[in-house]
Amino acid sequence: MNFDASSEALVRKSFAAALAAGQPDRITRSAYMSINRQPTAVIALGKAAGAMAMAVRNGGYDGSGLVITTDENHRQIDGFECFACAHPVPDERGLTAAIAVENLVNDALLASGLDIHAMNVVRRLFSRLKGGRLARLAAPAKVTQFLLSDVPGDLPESIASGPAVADPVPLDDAFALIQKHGLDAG
Amino acid sequence: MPGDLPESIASGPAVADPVPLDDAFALIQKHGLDRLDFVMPHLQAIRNGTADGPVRSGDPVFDRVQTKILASNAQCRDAAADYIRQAMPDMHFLDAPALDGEASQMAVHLAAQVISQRQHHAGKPYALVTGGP
Repeated sequence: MNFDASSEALVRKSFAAALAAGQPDRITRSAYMSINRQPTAVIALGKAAGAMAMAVRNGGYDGSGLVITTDENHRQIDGFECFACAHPVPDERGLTAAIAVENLVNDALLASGLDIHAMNVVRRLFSRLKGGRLARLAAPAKVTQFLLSDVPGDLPESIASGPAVADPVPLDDAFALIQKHGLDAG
Repeated sequence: MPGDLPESIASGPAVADPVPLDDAFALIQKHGLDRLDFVMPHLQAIRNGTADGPVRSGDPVFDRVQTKILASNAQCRDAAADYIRQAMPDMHFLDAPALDGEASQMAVHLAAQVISQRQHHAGKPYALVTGGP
């Protein structure tokens, strides 16, 4: 076979077919649209993470999520928190991104079936700052809190999970709530 | 990723780790990574259960995890070959070697391999489709 113009066109077009088969936009969007329920959160990891998150967004996902990718692939995507990290040797930015993943998953678990007050009861148990711990950290300094509330009932312990107010929920009640929602599993 | 192993894609954040701790330890020793000061204490902590090790197959955490590989080198290669097959049904495909290395060097290597086959095909079209391991 002589390598003429038609051969070159064949090679170029077959190469394009190979690239199309691995093109993250189309295949991720199509995979996303095949699932029957919008996920609670989306976490996209790796060099194609930005394209994959964008594809999910274009596929109708209107929730929040995280994108963790490399510097050269980093871009902002509406509604997603986007992290650029070192690859293949991790750096501190990777640690920050990993913590963001943990927080997102924890929040997503808490959000599943708990109202805002119940969620905050649990959050206050585990946070380093919530449930009055910021006040403990700052004591004996004077603390003045300015609160803007979007929480039903305007309970100070629920606004920002009450970093500088006393937690009124007994530990036994919090434990019962955790068991009720199956958060003690695993 | 060579072999498309789910535990290797993004280091498998949601799949079971099939590598026994002893094998991982042997690998760490072989490459001298046990000289790093944080490595052995962490391994020891995994062994005695005070640090989380990788999750193993059969763990109920995977009961509701679905894993789908949406794209891979193999699928891309197949797409290229399918295109050629449709365009030229009489195309003969050579056995393709696995590739691992710098793309421009691999291209030269492949071109030489294709040219070396010329006399065996007597003017009939032949192709070699490869890419990735």
